[in-house]
Amino acid sequence: MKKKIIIITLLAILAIVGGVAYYEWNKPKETAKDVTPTFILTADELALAFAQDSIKAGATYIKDAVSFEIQGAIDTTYVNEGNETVIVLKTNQETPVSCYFIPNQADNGNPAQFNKNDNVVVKGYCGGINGDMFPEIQMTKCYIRKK
Amino acid sequence: MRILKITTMKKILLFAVIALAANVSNAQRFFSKSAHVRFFSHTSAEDIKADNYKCEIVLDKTTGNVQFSSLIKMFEFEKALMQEHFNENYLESDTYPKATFKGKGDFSGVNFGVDGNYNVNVAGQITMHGVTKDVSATANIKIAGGKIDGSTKFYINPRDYNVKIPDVVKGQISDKIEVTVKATLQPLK
Repeated sequence: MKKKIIIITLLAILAIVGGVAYYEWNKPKETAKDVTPTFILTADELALAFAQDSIKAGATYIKDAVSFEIQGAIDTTYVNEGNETVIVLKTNQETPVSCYFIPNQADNGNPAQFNKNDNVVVKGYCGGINGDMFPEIQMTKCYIRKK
Repeated sequence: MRILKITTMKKILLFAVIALAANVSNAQRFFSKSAHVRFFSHTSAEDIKADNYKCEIVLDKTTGNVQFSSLIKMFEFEKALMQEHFNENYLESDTYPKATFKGKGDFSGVNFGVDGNYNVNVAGQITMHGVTKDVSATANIKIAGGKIDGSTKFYINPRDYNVKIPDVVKGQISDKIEVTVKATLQPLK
């Protein structure tokens, strides 16, 4: 009887571990839509932080655990060669904030519906500042809504 | 009247083509803000690929300088878990957010204003995960109808860049990662 209980317990543990592993392996990609943001900023405030001290801003903002809610007006929208919708937010700095939306992501807020000069709120994670010639702050796993 | 209209349209089109060709051949530098980098790992256990379409490349045909940069967090994997491991455990993108290439190529034989297909040797240094390594590769530049497409392919070993891969997944990640770079280049005015 005792042996039976041990076998059943082991099988149950195995099933749970297997189930968790299967879920983790196949878990869907998620945007930052339902994440409580670590920082709520305007696009200009984020760009200013990088313009003033890019090392300090990088140490503060480029972290997997740090998410953002960014408010701003749309400068341009386009679809890049990877079929990703890109929404560029205006700033008063040299560096715009470019928000990238991966294709076919159900929880991204449908970025295609937005146009130039729309005031929007974007939630996402900061990948850093890229480019020497045309530097831009790149945001990933983005979700967008109207302000 | 209709013939006159067609002739005028042809003239405008011809002028536009000449203007574009002149613009391209006069340009000293070419760039792309949406260059594509793909990492591809093949093992008997599985194939893994990651794509980043948000990279910047600038090349100067006179000096031969080639600069490239991409953010590690912007690579997209098929599976969310792979992406997490890539960022948090392998490339540690919080600490090393960017990968760069700085090098030189000999573009003296490339006429950017004329259709053609050219192979150019490019050599330089990749900096990734805090490690800088020499790399060289043959790049292809294809010019057709004013469109300039650049591409190259080379291989890197993650261990050369101090990327520590746990024993448990060693059989799933190749030590010869194929890196493909593709970009449609615009003349820099």
